[in-house]
Amino acid sequence: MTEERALISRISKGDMEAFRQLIKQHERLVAHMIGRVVKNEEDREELCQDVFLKVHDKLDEFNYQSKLSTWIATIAYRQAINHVRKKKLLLSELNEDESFKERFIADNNPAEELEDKDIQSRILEYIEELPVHYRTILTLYHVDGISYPEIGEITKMPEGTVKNYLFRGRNLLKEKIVKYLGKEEVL
Amino acid sequence: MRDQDEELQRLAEAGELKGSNPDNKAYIKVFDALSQEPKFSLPSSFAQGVIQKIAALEARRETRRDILWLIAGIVTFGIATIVCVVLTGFKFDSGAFTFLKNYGGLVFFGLALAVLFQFLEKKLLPNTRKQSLI
Repeated sequence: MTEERALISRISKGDMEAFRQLIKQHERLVAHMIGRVVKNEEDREELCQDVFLKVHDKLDEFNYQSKLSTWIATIAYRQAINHVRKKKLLLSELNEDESFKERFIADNNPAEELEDKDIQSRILEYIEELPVHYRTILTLYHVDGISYPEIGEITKMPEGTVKNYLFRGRNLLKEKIVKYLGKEEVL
Repeated sequence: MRDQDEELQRLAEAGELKGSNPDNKAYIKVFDALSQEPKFSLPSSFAQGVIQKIAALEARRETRRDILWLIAGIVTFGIATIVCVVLTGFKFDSGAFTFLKNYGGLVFFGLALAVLFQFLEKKLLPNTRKQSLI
């Protein structure tokens, strides 16, 4: 925390080397967040840039109530969700309907079945098919090692909802894999 | 069913899930895949790109600020002129400036010198703000 304070103080005084250091420390987290939520390759890097421009602009407003990484992840999350909302095409992703679970598990492309892909890359593809909140929470928890309360702070969801999304996301993937492995064994 | 799945997820997270039944096998694979980093990563020059963009934005803001000050100066000057004219009852009489007729070159030289000083100030004095950004 002391190091964070020192870094922020240097940035506030106009030290761009300190800001470069901040970017290096948090670019992985921002890339994960944007990369999981935004599907369009071309928009991703620009959105990551926008996140850090916003961080630079609003750094004076950071009040040390949370970790700097949580604050930056919150900005990245909002930026990503706003982008999805603007694009409208993916708006349905934000609101998961009742029949999603059945569709997700049942949805299998026959041509895809014939492709010789290992199970790991197939699971990664299935993750991309999940609604945006599942993808975000699964990534923050499993890849970035962020705690439930911090994820709640980033996504503005109660801790219970975060846990529920995490449980259901893993469960959906498991169901899909059980179905896939079952078919593979039959074949 | 949910309790059973919760227990399986807890064990898988702790790395203690074993067994060959489909649920166990699937959870082990799901947890392995979930801890993998997403494919998207940023180029090594990303930080430099952001810093350059900030410098460009800062320069644009500075130019805009300068223009606003210039406009404010012109407007203030205009108002001050009108106020002076009204308060002093000044009447424009070109006769008052006839003495300049003989010193046209001097007036031109004075103006050229002022413009030259402005130009040199912009070009030669180091812009400390810009340097600290880059």
